[in-house]
Parts: sequence; structure tokens; C-alpha cells
Amino acid sequence: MNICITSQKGGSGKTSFTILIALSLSSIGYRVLCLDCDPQGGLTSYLSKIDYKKKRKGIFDILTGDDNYNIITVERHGIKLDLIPADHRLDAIYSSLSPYEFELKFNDLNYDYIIYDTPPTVQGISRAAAMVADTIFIPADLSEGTINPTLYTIDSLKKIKKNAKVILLGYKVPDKESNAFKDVMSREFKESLGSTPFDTIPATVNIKRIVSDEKKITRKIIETILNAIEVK
Amino acid sequence: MSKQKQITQKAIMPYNTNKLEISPELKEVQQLMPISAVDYDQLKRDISESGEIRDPIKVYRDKSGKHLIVGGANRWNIAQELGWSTVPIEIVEIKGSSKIQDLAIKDNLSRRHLSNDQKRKLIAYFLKSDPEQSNKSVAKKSGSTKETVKTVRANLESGGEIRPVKTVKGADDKTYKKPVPISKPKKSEKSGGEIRPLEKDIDAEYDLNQHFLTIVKDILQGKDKQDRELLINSMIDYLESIK
Repeated sequence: MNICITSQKGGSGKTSFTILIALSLSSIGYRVLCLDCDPQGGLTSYLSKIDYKKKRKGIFDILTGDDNYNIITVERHGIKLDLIPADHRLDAIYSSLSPYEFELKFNDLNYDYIIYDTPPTVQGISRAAAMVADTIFIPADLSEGTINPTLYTIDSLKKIKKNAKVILLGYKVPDKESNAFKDVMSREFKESLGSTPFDTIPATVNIKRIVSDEKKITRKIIETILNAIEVK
Repeated sequence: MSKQKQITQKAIMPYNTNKLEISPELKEVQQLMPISAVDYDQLKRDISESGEIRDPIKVYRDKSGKHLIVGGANRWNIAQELGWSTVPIEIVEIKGSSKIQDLAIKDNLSRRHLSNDQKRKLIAYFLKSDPEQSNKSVAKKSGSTKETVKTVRANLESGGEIRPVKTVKGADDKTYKKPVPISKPKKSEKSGGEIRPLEKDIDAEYDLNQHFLTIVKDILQGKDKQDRELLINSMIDYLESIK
């Protein structure tokens, strides 16, 4: 099954959510491959220990004709994940890739889940990932600058006949009377999404510490994530 | 005024030189559009000195994911001779062998100066593959004139290499009856103004409908016999001129 994590908004939590999903799925026994499709290589930086000075053989090489996929295995507190890395070389091509780029690329690989972490755009590589995805999630951090790009991403996906689920990160059940920032943002987000399906990851989940490997992902957090992505 | 297509990004990227192959569609028509040794050497010098291939090589992906060249085979060959590990490619999303071949021909033709003999061979290739293509559409595809296509067609028909056709397909893919030549009538006198001049700015060989309707209407509305005869003779003159 292919999962695409996408949003036009930079810093909305795509890479973080990719790591949370990957760890959660792998912890219950699924074989998981993460594809770092972002020229920034954020996912690669978080998950692997590749020296920043070294070339990260990975997605760029595959897309430009290399048959050697260079899949690396990483481990977080006993949970194993496979990863195809990315680096800045991807910057030259990611925005103009064909929407059918991933059609036949990873069909022969034996994974239960392939998760595509995409850059902050709906074009090029992100569109290619969405085209092959069985499920698409749009993470959205609760900030003022996130609503419009999130809605734009939803619309862009509809144009290629794809539906997505929005995941509100750091969500708090809003107090109707309160004008506190998080309450206002939570209310506005809910209203703006209309009929678009969404789920929430509460503010109590310390996403940053899990992503940076300072903290181990707990059973409770795994259940929260699996509920949000509807996997049992 | 022509309608502008929506501007989209082209899928252009570097690709492993050794992983490309020439498509079967291009292989079939390559020999019809050869590059001269002088032009090839000039191209090689230009690429070598500039250090780049400015026009990306056009490829499509087949069902197995192979990247197949439809345009730019010479540039690819040169890159291999120069030992370049990657070349710029433009991926074209195109399906259907005939569409791929059309693209292969169009892309290569725009870069060639074919001799008259080479053009005739290309025309013969088109007519043999589908004799029902109109002279106009073959002329457009081969970069030649309708008259040349007509001559080549006549030679092929008389040699039995293609069958004479009763219907032809226009560039709009519609089928039209091949018009029968009309014998030249005696010259008519024009009264000097009552008759609307016939326009020759349409390809009346196959698209006469609107124009004939106008002429027929005029004939039927003509008040007397002399007007009607003048109109009919004008129509005949016109058909003769576009034969």
C-alpha cells in the first residue's frame, strides 16, 4: 500500500508525520519503506546517520536511471525501518517530474507500506507520489499560514481525482468561548475544512522529541497514530 | 486568433546515457531523415565545445518502464561518443504507435534540410502506410506541397504500390469524397459587380460545404435565368481553379 504525505505548506509536519506513521506501522509488524522525496532530505537527516558531507545515493539516482536502489535500514529503539535517501541533487528535477514517474518504479519491492514524504509543493514529485498513492494525508500544524495552503492542496488533489485526509497536528478541542490562539485556530481549521475528512493528533503528543529520537514512541501514541490513519 | 494552451512545466531531467534506447517507431523512420556527415560533425563540435546538449532528448516510457528515444538520437550518440554519463531528457506522455511515430517524424524533420528526393521518399512512406490520408495532410507532415504529394501519389498508384482511393481523410480526421476533376467550360461574361467574388482562402478541395451552400443559396435566389447561369459558371470556374 502506498501512502503519500503531502502539503503545499512548508513546515506543516510532513516529515514528522511520516516518521510517526512509519514507526507506528513497523512497531506492529508491517514492513515499511520510507521514500524521502524532498530535496532538503529532512527525513534522511532525521532517520539516518549519513555524514552531511557525503553524497546520499537514493531517490535522485533512481529517477535518473540507476537500478541500484540503495535502500538503507535504520533503527529507532528496536523499531526497524527501510529508507531511500534524498539530497540536494533532487532539487534540479523534483518540480518538473512527470506525474507518472512512480508508476512502475517500486512495484516489485516487497513492502506492506511505502510512505512518500514529499516537499512543500503540489507539483512535480509530489503529484507523482499522489498519483500512485492509495491513501493521502495532509498534515497541518495549527498556524495562521497553514489554512490556505492546506485548502489549495486539497483542491489540487481533487483535480487529479484524489481525496485526502487532513491530520491536524497539535489539535486541541476548542473552547467555544475562548479567544486563546490554539482555540481560535482549532475552530477556524474545523470550519475551513468543511466536508473534507480530518483527524487530530493532540497537543499532548510530543512530536518533536519523538522525531528527533530524544523520546521513544509509546504504545498510546502508536494507537493514536494508527487510529488517525485508520489502520488496525 | 489562435487559442493559447495552458502553460505547463515540461518533465525535463538528467538521465543515465546507457539506460536509453532508440524506440522502434524512430528506428522505422530514421533512414528517411538522415543527417549528413557534415551536419553530424558540426553538431558534435557544438555539443563538445559548449559542454551541454541544449535541446533535451525526447523520450517516452514503455510499459516496462524503459526510456525510449523518439527525438534526439544523434545527440544521444554524440553524448556516448564523448563519454557523458548523463544526458538531458524530456519525457513525453504519449500513447499509440502512430502518434509516437508522428512525433518522431515531426521532431526530426524540423532539424533537417531534406533533398527533394528524400522528401519524395518520405511522402511515399506516408502514402504507403495509409493511402487515405489527404494530400494536404501528407504535405503538412512532410514539409512539402500538395502538388508534390499528388505527383508521388499518382506514381505510386500507376506502379501498383498503393491502391487508388475514393475517400480521403482530412487533417480533421473526417472522411471526404475525393473530388472528380471538372472539365473546363467556355468562358462566361461577368456583368461587373452583381456576382459576389468567390474566395480562394479555404481549402475547397475537401471543405466545400459552407461555400457551396452560400453559392447554391445565391443561385436559387437569383432573379433571372442570366444571373443563375452566371453564378453556375462562376462556380465551375472556381472548382477548376482549385483542382
